[in-house]
Amino acid sequence: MTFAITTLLILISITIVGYPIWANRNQSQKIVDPIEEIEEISRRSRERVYEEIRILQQEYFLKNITPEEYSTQLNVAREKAAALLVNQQEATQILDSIYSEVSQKFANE
Amino acid sequence: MANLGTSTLLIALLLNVYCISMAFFGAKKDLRSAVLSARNANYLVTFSLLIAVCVLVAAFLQHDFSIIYVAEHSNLAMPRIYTWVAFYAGNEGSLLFVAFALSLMSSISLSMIPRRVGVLSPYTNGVISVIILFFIVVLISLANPFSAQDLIPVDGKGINPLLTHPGMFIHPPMIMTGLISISVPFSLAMAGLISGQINDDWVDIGRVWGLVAWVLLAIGLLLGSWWAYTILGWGGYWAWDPVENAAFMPWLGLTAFIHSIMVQKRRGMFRMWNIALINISFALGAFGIFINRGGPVPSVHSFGASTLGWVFLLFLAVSTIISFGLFFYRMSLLKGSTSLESALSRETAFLVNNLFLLAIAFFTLWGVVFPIISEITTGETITVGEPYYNQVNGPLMLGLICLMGIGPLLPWRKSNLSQVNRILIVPLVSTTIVVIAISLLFQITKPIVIIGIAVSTLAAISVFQEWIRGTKARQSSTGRNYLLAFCDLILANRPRYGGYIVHIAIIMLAFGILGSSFYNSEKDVFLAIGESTEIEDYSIEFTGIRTEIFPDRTERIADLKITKGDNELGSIGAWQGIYPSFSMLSTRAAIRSTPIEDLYVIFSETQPDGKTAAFRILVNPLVWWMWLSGPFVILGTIVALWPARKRTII
Amino acid sequence: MSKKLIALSIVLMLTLPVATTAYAIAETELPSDLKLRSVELHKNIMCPKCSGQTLHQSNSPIASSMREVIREELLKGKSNDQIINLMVNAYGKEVLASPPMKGFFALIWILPPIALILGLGAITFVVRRLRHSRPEAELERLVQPQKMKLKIRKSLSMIDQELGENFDIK
Repeated sequence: MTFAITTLLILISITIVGYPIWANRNQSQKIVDPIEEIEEISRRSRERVYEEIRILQQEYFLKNITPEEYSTQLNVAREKAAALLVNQQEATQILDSIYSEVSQKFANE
Repeated sequence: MANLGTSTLLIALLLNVYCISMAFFGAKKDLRSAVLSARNANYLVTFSLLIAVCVLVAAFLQHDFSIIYVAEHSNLAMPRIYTWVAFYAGNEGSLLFVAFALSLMSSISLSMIPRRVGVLSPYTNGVISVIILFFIVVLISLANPFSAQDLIPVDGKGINPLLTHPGMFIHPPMIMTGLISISVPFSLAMAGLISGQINDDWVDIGRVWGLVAWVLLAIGLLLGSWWAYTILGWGGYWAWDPVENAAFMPWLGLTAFIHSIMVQKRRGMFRMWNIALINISFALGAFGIFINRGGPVPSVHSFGASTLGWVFLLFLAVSTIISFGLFFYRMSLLKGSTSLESALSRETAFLVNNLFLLAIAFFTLWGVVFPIISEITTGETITVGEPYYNQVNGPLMLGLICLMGIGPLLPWRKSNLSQVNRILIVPLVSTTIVVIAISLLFQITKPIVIIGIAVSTLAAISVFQEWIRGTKARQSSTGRNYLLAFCDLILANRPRYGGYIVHIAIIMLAFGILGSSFYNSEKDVFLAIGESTEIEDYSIEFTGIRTEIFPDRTERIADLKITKGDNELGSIGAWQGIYPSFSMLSTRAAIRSTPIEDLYVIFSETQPDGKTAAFRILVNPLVWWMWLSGPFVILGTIVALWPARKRTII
Repeated sequence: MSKKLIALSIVLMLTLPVATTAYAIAETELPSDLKLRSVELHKNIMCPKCSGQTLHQSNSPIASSMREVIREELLKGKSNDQIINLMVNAYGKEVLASPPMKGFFALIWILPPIALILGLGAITFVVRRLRHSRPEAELERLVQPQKMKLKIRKSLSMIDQELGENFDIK
């Protein structure tokens, strides 16, 4: 019985461990797509700014800061988030154009 | 059976080595297939260890005494339910338990890491699998639970009687799981350092597993105290024993971590510090495992002791060197991008909180290692006992509770003195009134107790004030009734309000400790059957002894009738069990517990005539609150961990 | 009725003889002032072979005999210090629950306050340094060129939309 269970376990392991290698052999091997990555990084930074906005709103709600202070700081934060979004869009554009340039080059050769 | 067990361990080892290689290789070369294969290998390691666990359990259930471990920790008479405890009763079994728990947690956490974080996932896999590797190697080479013996005994030794108490079903596995679960946030942090990706994704998952480790250790420590209170019979619950301290110190590090990680979540600050904190907590946890196994200091917990101490010391040294090495190597990456706008802010309060917590941890560590240092330096053996710990840690703990009161009231980012005064005036005034009232009502004169009551009240008022203000704000903005607004409030900001629930639990704990430490009464008496004794306003009459004989033990229960003033409060029974095969006498205290105080009786020796017995009787005020804090700690943690999709303001 | 100052507590690794009568010594009552001192002494003296328990907590034979010795010395009129010295001479310094305050051992008490002061100093230093960094420069860097300012204003509506999705703003 020991032999049977052990052999079974080894076979199962080899199958499960080998499957991803075999299944992905024809696909892109990148762990993460670069464009996705840029979007992710930008989204995370924007979320950080949103978190700051949320704290700001909490403080305003609890009457810890004045309405003027609240609106100034809110606008600063919104602009920061917008700047991040713009940066992301520009970076994605650049990356896209590089990709198309490179694939054109290869198509020509 | 033995062969099957060892084979599964070997298979786990092979899979684990494969996992580590593929994880690091795939991460370095950016190969998805390698990374996915490594992840599957991690799941398979968990599966193999699960089979090993099942094999050992089956061996116990089938009474396979050819396996040394089964023979040492069970016998034919043992009820099946104790198999659970027998599994981790000894060194080899508990190591298998730890390895499996670690592997299971690694698989779960790995499956939780989102794909978008890239190389963070395989590096985490690699690091945590290296830790698993350590345990598997130790299991196979030094502490194999499946070692067999040629001369098969007819019956096993049986399980240590002290482990048959219900507390023992949960306390050791919780402490062990808690200690080893620090590996998860630790591996995440290491992965971040290795990959250079010190971003907020590790924070989210790191916080979750940090909280998991924290709550496991918290409950484990509380259960251990409860067990000590009921069984060890000196009327206390915490002795600053090295093994207790060994679990307490990493818990302190984790408490600092779960606070300081909130600052990183909210404001992106303290990234360097959070990684350092996790490194410290992990090192303290590894130190804890070392103390547990190696025992360079004497302890009441020696049941798991072995000669493996040096192995865990080595693990501690290597992991600390590598983790801090990586930390300093990548330190430039970790510089924060946010500034502190004012010294009078919640961020600073968190820094002070961290300081106090780490100071307590450090001073406790100092107390644990000082005897060793002293022996090496002067050649003289000395003891560092309760007086040191109480005097050194006591003030810091009071300071922490005070911070619990002030911290939540300070605004983020910045504040000024007038604003702080405005916020603090109501809590401070109410606290003063309450403290004066309580001191007069209960005639409290000890300064320490008064300070204790003051800070606890301040902390409680602080939480209630936050709840009231938040509920009012929500009620006025949404128009719902107060009760719904309160529930909305908690659900809308779960980390914060879950945290407040835990703070309330800590205040309950503080109350219990203050009451039982400073206002307890104690009495040791000899009573003959029929005789009574008095303590406080209780009258206790020893009415008789009932004896019951079992195959492995003799049980004796001393019946005691309790009267308070004119009220008859019924009977309680103080239990003792004599276990001839272990030459051991075990007792369970008779406790009559109310929210005000515990009446606590331990039945110890009986005189030869069988009619007179020795009793230790205590009246411990407020202990009930200590145990009540447990469920609140769990509730608060669940609330704090409950995922929320939409984030709301208040 | 005779009162005793012995309590039976349980230590995991301690093997107690099943015949517990071995150390059931009858003790005579101590006067209350001596009893207070005796409890105090029990809490500050360790039982040498009892895995880290004080005389108050442990009930091994050694602990019992030590408590008996203390009782006798108290009845003889010896002071607390004299009794402690007796114990130290018999069993060594390790029998004290806290190390003596002199020489190397004072280090155990000196280190904590010093470490705490250093810690507070470190926090002050960190807070000062953090206060002097300026993240507003970050935003200025991002926003500089005019073209950017235009694009940013255009993106604000997208930002507000994202805020609305993520927040329950009222």
